[in-house]
Amino acid sequence: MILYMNNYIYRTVLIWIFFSLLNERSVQAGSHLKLLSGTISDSQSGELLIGASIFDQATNTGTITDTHGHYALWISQNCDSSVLEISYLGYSVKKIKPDCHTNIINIKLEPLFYNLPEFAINAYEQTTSESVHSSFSMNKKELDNFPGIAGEKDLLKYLQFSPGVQMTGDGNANLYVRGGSSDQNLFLLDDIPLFHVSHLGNITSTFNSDMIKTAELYTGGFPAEYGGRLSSVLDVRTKDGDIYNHHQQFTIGLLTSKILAEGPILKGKVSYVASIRVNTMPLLKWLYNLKVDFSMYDINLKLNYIISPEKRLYFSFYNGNDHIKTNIDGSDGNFTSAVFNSWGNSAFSLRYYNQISQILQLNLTAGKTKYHYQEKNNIVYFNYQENPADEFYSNFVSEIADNFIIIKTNYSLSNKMKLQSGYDFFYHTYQPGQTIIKQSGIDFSDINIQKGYASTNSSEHSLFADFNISDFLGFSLYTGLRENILISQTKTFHDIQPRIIVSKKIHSNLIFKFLYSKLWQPFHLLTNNGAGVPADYRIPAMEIAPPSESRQEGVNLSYFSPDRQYEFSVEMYYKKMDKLTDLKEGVAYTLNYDNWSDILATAGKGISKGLELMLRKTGGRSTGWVGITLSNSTRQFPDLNSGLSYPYKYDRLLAVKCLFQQQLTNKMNFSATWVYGSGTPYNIPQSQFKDIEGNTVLIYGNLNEFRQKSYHRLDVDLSYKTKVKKHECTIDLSIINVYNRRNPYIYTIINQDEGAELYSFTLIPVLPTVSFEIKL
Amino acid sequence: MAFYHKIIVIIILLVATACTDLNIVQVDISENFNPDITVNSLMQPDSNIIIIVSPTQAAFSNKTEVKPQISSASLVDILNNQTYSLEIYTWDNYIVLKNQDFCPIPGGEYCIKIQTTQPAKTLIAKDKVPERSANILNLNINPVKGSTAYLGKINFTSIGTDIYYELLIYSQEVVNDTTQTIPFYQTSLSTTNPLITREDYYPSLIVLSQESPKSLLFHIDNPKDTVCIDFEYDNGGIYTNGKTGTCNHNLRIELRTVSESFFLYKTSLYKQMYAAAGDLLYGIAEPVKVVSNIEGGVGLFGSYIKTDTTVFVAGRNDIIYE
Repeated sequence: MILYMNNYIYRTVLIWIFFSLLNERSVQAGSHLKLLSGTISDSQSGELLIGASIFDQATNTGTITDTHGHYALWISQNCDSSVLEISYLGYSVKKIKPDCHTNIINIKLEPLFYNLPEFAINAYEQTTSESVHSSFSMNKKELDNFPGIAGEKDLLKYLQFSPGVQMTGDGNANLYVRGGSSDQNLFLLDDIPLFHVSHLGNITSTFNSDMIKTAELYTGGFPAEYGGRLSSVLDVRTKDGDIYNHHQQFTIGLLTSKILAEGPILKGKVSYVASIRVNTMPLLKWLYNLKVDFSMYDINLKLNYIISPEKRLYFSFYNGNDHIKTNIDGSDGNFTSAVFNSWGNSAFSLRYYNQISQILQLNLTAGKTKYHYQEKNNIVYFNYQENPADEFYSNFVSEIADNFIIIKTNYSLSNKMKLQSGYDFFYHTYQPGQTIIKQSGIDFSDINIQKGYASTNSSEHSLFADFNISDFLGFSLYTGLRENILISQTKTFHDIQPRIIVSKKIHSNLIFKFLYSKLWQPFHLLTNNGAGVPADYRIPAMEIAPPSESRQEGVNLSYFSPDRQYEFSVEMYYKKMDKLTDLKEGVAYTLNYDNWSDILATAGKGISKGLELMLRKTGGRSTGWVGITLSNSTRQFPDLNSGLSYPYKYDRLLAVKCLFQQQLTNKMNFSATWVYGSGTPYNIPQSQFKDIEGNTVLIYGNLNEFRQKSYHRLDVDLSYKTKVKKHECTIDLSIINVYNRRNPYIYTIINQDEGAELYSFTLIPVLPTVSFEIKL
Repeated sequence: MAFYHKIIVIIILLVATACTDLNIVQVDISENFNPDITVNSLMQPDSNIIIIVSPTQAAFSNKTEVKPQISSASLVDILNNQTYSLEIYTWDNYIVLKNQDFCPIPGGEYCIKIQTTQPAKTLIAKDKVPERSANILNLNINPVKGSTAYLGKINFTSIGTDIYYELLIYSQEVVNDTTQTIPFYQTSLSTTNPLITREDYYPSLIVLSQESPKSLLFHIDNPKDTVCIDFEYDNGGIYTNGKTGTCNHNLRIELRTVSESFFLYKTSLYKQMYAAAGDLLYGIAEPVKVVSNIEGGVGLFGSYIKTDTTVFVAGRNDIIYE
């Protein structure tokens, strides 16, 4: 362990010494280029724009802003001929002539109030193939007009339409990427990892769309800065808050309602953005006549302190919870009983950003993230003097928490060479599950039992470096390396994960890519199927269940139309997962506290392969895409399904996803989505018998032997944006499942006297919904 | 304000249209179906043993399968090393194995061995009858405020180390007409007791639209404990003269001490029932296999000893729902 640490320190120091020797002067030495740098921001709110492009028409070179809205662009020393074109979706295109005596130009773009179509062609994107990863960028305009149940614009539902993400059917906001399970996605909210990202039984995700500035989903060819999960990375960046003016925004929807407030604390210096989202009303309780109260909330807060033009400090906070409770009382006041379930994330981070020089930036992030799951029962009986006489109490808690420090440096060595390096430290704390049971009273013995899996801690060190060189002899090369050490209480695990992408510009508009990534995951998710409730428990990697690994290879061919309004891509991938862990069949997670080997099915393997085709239109009044995926995904565990390979739960041979959005007028937008998916696997019993008490007992065969019928659905949305007394208002009308397709949500077996009957339950019939939003 | 009223009316209309749907799915897997053999028996001390042997049938099918042919069947009293032959009776689609001279005793260990031809199989099962029943100390029933439900509380002394229990309740309506005999009906029951809610078979609060289990099964490993179990049941409401009430009823509580194989079988059966029914929020659960102690077949060779008590519960009227 000490040897590993010494190696780490040694390598880290070497890399830091090498790059601290570099500065803009050494990079530029001998060249005829002049370095321009600065930020691109919103002219009204001061919000830094991520991914805005800046293009020099004279040298035919350009770049895009990073996650801090910063750019570094080398232009000709003789800048008289240079004209910079700056563009960003939803903003007016700006052209400026750079001042030859200035190296730093901060640019402000004018936002377009209405959803005017972006006729402007992104000039930078016309000339580059820098975007090398298999990734999908959220388009905020598309998300805002996306049809959603009860007007809920949900990021994960939107991303389910992207290639590589499995369609999960109705009522599931989780992501299943290229045959991976939901825990294999790294969800980052302003660099903070979140563990459980859904509310209300997966109906909506924890990402409040009002807070989101950008979101990028990586499904292959992962940058080395990301690690710790096997299948995908979703990097979500929230708004910084208006630095000049105060705004409030209210949204009333059938499912959730929310308030967002942003503005300056110190004008031009410190800003805040805060939002609260709660469930609007007990919709599920009314619809399904439930006996329980269900509530959820999200709180997001971000503070942004501009220390100087080069330095910023950010504080991000998130807290989201779901609660289910039921209370009953005795009619004579002689007892009270309460049952309570809750789960959710709480997280915060402090991030320091320093623009050390024009080409070198430093990011320091420290924070904590925690996910908890709790079940609590309490019943109290009172005697005639109304004093508690008997009491029963139990509390089950399962938790995972990470304390982390992330150090990242970004170097722009030239317009075509970029380097990022850094170090992560995560201190993982696991409480896989612990129960406290108490009983006290007059007529029986006192009980005070504490049972559970032991809490464990582990520390994880990661060192990473990404090097990107673009348009060199027609090739672009991306190489990344991530080295991980996981030090648990009983064992140290070590892994090196190479990431390689080679892309070749076959033609000015045709690019071929080869991608390879290796990833690992230091924990396992166990889904307890007791009584049909998939409660999630996360357990640490250990000797019998080491960190899971995945290796993914892929080839991609992308074609861009000359005006860049159309993009067509074909990607083939092969993903192999090893050392997967799950629960053995029929074991009870919450009662077996003695030996992990009794309940864990280890050494699992997974194979996923597929072909993804995507045609996307990003410019003009009509936008959208058609995505077609052919895929196959399997799992194999020595202790499950008699050791035989079986189809993964969300395996679909064919999936077709279409999104169409039309700007009808400056104020009105129409949007439609249509999906088709061949059936996913499920289990039905092979045989049955009646036992001596008259119960019907079902006997199952191999796992996932049957296929559901195909799934398809059409949703439409009409949004109207207007101004009422200077306040921006949006009314959004959606019709979900327009042609009322009876898609099976669950298959349920109902035992009748003459035997079991199989029924399919449709969750979402044709469902018109409305939401109303006002910005003050 | 008129604008907001319109919005509220639209919201109400839209909620009203949001209905869900249940459709039967026709499945036929009876072709080339090879039935298994089921063996089912529940031993009770001082009762003759009855073992039922039958074929399994294809799921979702009413097609009856051919009965297995039994060539020999015997029961071994392991502690006394004595073998009893079992007589074979045919009943409908079942085969019943009996021995009129044999009754299991508390603490006894027994093994059955059944040999079949067509299909040729040997079925073996073992079980140990619990040593004694628990002693119920007291029982009280309280009405739940704003509901037709009742909350019961039963105290009993645990009878040893590693003992498995099952609690069942039966309700009988009490009517003024003494000539009328109304039978006891088994009633579903729920609890907040952590000894039970921590068991994996017990449905979580998150499981929606599901019935409570028909019995409560739990495990106690401390022999000195005096245990108190709460249970809630709903006997149903009666609506007369614009008022909701409940009827007078007798409540029979049966506390069984069950064998480990019975406990594992029944808890896995409940898990299977909830998993097979699925859940509105979380969709389809993975299938659950019912634990069987029959080697060479499926089913249960289990046992229990019971104790019971019956109390009268007065009906209520004028319940105001909360």
